[in-house]
Amino acid sequence: MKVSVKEQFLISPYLAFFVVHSMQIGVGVLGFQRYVAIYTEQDSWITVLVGGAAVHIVIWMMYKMLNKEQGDILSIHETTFGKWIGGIFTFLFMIYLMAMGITVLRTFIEVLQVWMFPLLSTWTFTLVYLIAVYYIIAGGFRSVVGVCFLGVVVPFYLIFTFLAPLEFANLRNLLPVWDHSIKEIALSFKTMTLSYLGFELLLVYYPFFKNPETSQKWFHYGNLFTVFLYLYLMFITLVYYTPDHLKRTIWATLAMWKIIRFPFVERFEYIGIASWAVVILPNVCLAFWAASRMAKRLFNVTQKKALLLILVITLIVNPLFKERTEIDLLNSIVSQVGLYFIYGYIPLLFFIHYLMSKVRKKV
Amino acid sequence: MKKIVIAVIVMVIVGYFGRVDKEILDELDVATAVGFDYKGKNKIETTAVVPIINPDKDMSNKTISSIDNLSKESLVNLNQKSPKPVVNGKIEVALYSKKLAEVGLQDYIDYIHRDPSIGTRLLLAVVDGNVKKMLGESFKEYDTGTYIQRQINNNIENGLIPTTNFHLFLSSYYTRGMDPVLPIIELKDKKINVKGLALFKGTQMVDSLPYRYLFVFKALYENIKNAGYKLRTKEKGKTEYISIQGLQTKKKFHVKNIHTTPEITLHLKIKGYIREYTGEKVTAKTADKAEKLMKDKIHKEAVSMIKDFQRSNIDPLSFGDQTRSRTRHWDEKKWDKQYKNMKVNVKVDVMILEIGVVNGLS
Repeated sequence: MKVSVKEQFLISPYLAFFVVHSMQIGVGVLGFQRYVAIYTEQDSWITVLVGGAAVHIVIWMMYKMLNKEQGDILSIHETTFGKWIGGIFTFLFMIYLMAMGITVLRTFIEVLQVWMFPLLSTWTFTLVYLIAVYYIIAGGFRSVVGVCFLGVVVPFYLIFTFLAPLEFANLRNLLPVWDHSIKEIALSFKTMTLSYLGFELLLVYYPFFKNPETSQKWFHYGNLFTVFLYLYLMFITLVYYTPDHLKRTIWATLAMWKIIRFPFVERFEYIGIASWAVVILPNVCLAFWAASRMAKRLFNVTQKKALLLILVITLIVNPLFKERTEIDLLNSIVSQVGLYFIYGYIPLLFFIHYLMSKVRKKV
Repeated sequence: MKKIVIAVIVMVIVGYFGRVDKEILDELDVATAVGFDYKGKNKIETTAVVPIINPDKDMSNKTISSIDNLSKESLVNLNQKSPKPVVNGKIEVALYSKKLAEVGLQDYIDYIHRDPSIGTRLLLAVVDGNVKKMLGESFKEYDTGTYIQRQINNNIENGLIPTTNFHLFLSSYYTRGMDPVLPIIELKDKKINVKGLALFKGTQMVDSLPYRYLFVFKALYENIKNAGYKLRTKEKGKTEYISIQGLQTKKKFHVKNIHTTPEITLHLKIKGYIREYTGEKVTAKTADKAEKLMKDKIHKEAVSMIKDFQRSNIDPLSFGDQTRSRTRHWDEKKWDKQYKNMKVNVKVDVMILEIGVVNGLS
C-alpha cells in the first residue's frame, strides 16, 4: 500500500546519511566502551566491526520490504498481519519510539547532573529542552532533518579532541589480538548493537525521501560512518585504558576528556557535555517526530496534538527516574527491546512479509 | 497574545525553579593542592592549599586543614572551616604522607577518582615528613600547589622521575601484572626535594628507591628523552667525575619460553654525550672508558634492582603486562607463582656520541 507525501515535504536522498548517523550517535557514545570491553577486553574493536556489518544486513532487509511496499511500517504491518493485529504492533512500535526519546533525554540529564550540576532539577531542563523540540518538530520533517544535519556537523570538531589521550597511549594494550572465544564476542556483540540502534526509524520516514530507492546507498554510507566513528573511539579507548581500568570506568569517553588541560579551560568535559546537547537534539526530535507520525497514521489525529501529548507524557515521566540504577534499568530495557526488534522482529517480518505479499498477489 | 503569556509563564517557572548554585570565581576558594596526613588509626588530617591573589598582584597561600575519620568527610568538612566554598576543579597535586602510604591509599584515592571535577592529569606524590608543613610553605613564583606540580613535571620531562599522573596510577593499580610507583618528595631547607620513588603493591607502599637509582629505574620503565648521569672513576689514584648529559634511552623486551618458564631479556640502548670531566683531558679514550664504566654500572644496578622487586613480589616494570600481551589466555595465577623466581637478563649498550666543543684544556 503506497503512502504518498506531498512534494514540498520531501527531502533529498543524500540526507539519509545525516539522518541515520545522527540518530545512531547519542548518549551511548559517552560510555559504550565499558559494556563491550567487559566481555572482549582488547578485542572489542572486532566487535565494533562485526556489529556494524550485521546492521548493514538489517538495513538491506528493511529497504527490501519498504521498496516493495512504497510505504512505512504501518503499511507493512497491514499487508502482513491485517488491519487490527498490524495496528497493535504499530502501536507497540510507537511506544518504543517514545521510550527511546525519553531514555536519551533522561540519560543526558543524568550526565549533566553527575558531571556538571549536581543540583539541577530534572523537570526544568526537560521543560526547556522539550520546548525546543516542539518548535523543531512543529516545523515538519524537513526541519527535523535540518537539525540532524546540524547535529552531525556542529559537534564534529569533538572528534579531534580524542587525539589528546594518545599522549599516554600504550599500544601493548591491544595485544594479543583475538584472545576471546566466539561466545564472548557474541555477548559483547549484543551490547554493541545497542550503540547502533536508531536506524530502524527508517521504517517511519522512508516515504519522505524523494525517489526513496536511491536513498539506500546514502543510508549505508551513514551507517558506515557510524562504524568508523565507533572504531576510532574504541581504538583510542583501548590504548588509553588498560582493560581492567576500562571495566571500572562508567563514562569512558567523558573520562578521556579529563586528561585535556588548557590554561583557559581547566575541565574540558564541560565543553564536551555542552556540545553533546546538540548531539542528542536530533535523537530526541526524530524519535518524538516518528512517534507522533505513527500516532497520526494510526488514530487519525493531527500530528501536533499527538506530539503535544507525547511531550506532556515525557515531562511527567522523565523526573520519575531518580537514581542511577533506575536510569540504567530504563536504558537496558529500551535497548533490549531494540535489540530483539532489529535482530528478531525485523528478520521475521521480512520473511512473513515476503510470503504474504506473494499470497496477496495471487489472490 | 496567548503565545506571549505562555512564554512569560515558562520563563518565570524555569527562572525560579531551574536555578543551580552559582559559582563565581572570585567568591570561591579554588584549591590547587590537597594533602593527607596520618593521625592515628582511622584518623587523617586533610589540608587544602588555596592561592590568594592580592590586589598588588602578589601571590600568597592559605591552607585549610581538618582532622576526620574519612577523607571524603574531611574534604567536605574543609568547607566548614572556610569563609568561601572550597572547590576541587583545579587541584593539581595530591600529597600523601609516607605513613599513610604505608597503611594504604585505597580510601583516599577513591574520593579523588569519584569526583568528576578533578582531572586525571593530577599528580600524586608521597611526602617524607609532614604534609601540612610542606603545603604551608610558600614559594615565590607560584602558589604552593602549582609550584609542586611544576617542579614534579619538570623532573618528569627533564629529570629522573618516571612519567606519572593519576590516570597512569589508576591503570597500573587496576591492571594485573603492573604495580604503581609514585615519587617521594620532601621539604629540605624550604625547598622541595625529590627524594626517590615509592613502590606500591596495590595501594600500599611496600618499598622505596633512593634518588641515585632513579636513572636506571626510569630507563627500565620508559624511554628517556633527556636526562643526566654521573660516573665516578679513579685515574692515577685520584677520584674523578664524568658527567654525561643529553641521555636518550630505548628499551626492548624479549620473552623466551613464554608458556613454560618465562625468561625476560631487557635490552637497553643508551645514547649521550660527555659534558664535564674533572680529570685532565677528554679524549676518545675517555669516551670509551666512560662507555664501559657506565655499561657495567647500569647493568649491575638494574640486575640488583630487579632482584629486589622480585624478592618483595612487586612488578613496577610491568613484566606481567609484557608477558600478558605476548601470551594467549594469560594465566595470572601461574604468573604470580613464577614471577619470584623468573630469570631476567639485562643487556646494556652505551654509546657516547659527542665529547663537547673542546678537546681538553691543554
